[in-house]
Amino acid sequence: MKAQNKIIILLISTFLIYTLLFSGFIYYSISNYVFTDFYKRLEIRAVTTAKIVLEDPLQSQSLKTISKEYLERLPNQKEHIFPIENGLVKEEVIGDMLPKSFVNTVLKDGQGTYKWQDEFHAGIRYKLSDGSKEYIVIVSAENYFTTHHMSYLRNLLLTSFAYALLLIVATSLFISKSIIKPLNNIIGEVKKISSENLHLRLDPKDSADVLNNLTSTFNDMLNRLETSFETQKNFISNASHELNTPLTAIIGEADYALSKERSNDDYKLALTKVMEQADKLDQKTKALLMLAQTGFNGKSQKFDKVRVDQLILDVKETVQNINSDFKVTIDFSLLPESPEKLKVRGNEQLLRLAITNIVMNGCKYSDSQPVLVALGASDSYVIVIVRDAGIGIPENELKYIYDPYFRASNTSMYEGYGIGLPLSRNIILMHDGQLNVSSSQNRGTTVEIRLPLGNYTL
Amino acid sequence: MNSARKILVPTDFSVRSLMLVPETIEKAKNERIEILLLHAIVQSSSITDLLFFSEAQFLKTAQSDEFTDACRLIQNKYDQQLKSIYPRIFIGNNQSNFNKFLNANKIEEAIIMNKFEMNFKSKQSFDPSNLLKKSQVKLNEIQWHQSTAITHQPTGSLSDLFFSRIITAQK
Repeated sequence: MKAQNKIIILLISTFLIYTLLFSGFIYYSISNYVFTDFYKRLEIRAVTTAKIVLEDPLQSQSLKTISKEYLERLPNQKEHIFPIENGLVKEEVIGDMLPKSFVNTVLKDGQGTYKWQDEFHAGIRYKLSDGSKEYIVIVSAENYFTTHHMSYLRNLLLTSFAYALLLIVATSLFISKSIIKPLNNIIGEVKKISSENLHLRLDPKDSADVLNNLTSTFNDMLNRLETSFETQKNFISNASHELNTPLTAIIGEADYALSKERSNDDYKLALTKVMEQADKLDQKTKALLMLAQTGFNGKSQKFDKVRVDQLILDVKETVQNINSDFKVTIDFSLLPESPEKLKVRGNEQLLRLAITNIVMNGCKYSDSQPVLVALGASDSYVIVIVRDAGIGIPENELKYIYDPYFRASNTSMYEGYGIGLPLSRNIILMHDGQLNVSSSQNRGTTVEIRLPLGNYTL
Repeated sequence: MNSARKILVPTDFSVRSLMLVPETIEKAKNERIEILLLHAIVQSSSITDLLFFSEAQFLKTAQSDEFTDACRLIQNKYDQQLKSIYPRIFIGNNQSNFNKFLNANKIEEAIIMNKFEMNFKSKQSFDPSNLLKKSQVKLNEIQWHQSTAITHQPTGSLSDLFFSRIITAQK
């Protein structure tokens, strides 16, 4: 069953049961109340009748006028008076008008009620004021008001129930739609994202509800997915770029050495050169493969304590292994005294990849001029700054630099695919950090990375 | 441990104006140091400004995040040696008041950056160098070396603080 239908049915049944219980309770208690009320009225009439009929006419004169003026006669009102003799009522006096059991109840308990079709009976045992004789007085009447009012109430409840049903159905439809709609929106947005446009993200709303949680969870997952995708692409782009040079050198050297007969020394020389290049190739491959580790250990990404100063030193080594022409100068002059301020919570492999990418970009686009890397810590952030004196980024293109595959207009002289920086930014964002790039064309670029301190104590 | 040399550094609340602080601290070798960052402003004559002026509020709006970050950075770097580094405002341009301010804060030393042009956000602010020069405080004049930053452009952000000395060293 569709979730929407489920919600509708659930809502309708809850509302219906509630309304039914509610109106049923009202009907039941009102009708109960009306019955008791009517019997009370009949009893009072029985007492008045007894006084008027049985007592001394002089004494009951005023009562007679009052009852005439103010007590209107009930529909089909009848009075019966039976004398009690020796504690019993003679059967022939009662006749067929009333059941004997009812008269006996009144005789025994002093009062009683009885209902036959629409006729209501209330009886009392009345003792004359001089105490000489006892009577049973019974007043019966049709309860016109009760039957009339109760049927009116019943109709009222039924019509209001019908209206409520309409309202309930409309409300349930509306509610189920308003619950389902944002979910459908999310589904629609997610469907648009595939491996081709992994950089797309869902639009988070401001409120802190479950749906927003879902959106951000999904975005987090996309971040991780994109990072691992891009890491592979990054590896391919780096490999195709960096591995070619030594390979060409090896092939060229070997080809040249084999082109004709040579002396032993010549062969030795050629082989040494091939060896040298092969060593370089080996180093590069190792460094690249290390970077290509996505930080996933098969199950989850491990976030652990990372010391940023060590990380920077590792980055320098990696960069120089990948291309020995690249120069990196590290400035530890503002290194905080306490090592606690250098520890962040993160994934070392990913962070290394991010910073290596940024440093390598610096080296590449500044024609191997030295790139400065500095490290410091404020109270809440570890700050890594990478500054080069390269070609810079044109000011009006700065806003596009995080788009995948975007390359600035002045980079045509350099090989690249526009993968590195978006990847680095993703990784930094995964660590709740910030990445700021400021640049002026032909003068250089400064990248500022801020990573939140991990609050590790010694 | 509580006695620390108190040094006054004029500031315009830019990261640039802090560049000489690390050098100053290192020159002091192992002495404990306290740094007071002085920002001078002229008292406004507007009655509403006078009524609602609050030093804390002014400091809060005048300091950028980068400036406070830079202060924390320096504090973290010289945690042992640097007792504290904090901004203060001096209001007015009256020499005798200024001398009283220096006395009250027990300042004996100040740094003046020659050829450093202060860049103020607020129109009220001014460079207190002249007041400092006329006071009794011991002055350390340091040449501001803007020209050294040619190869690596200054961005006006936090990163300037880092490389100032690398550049000086290269020179």
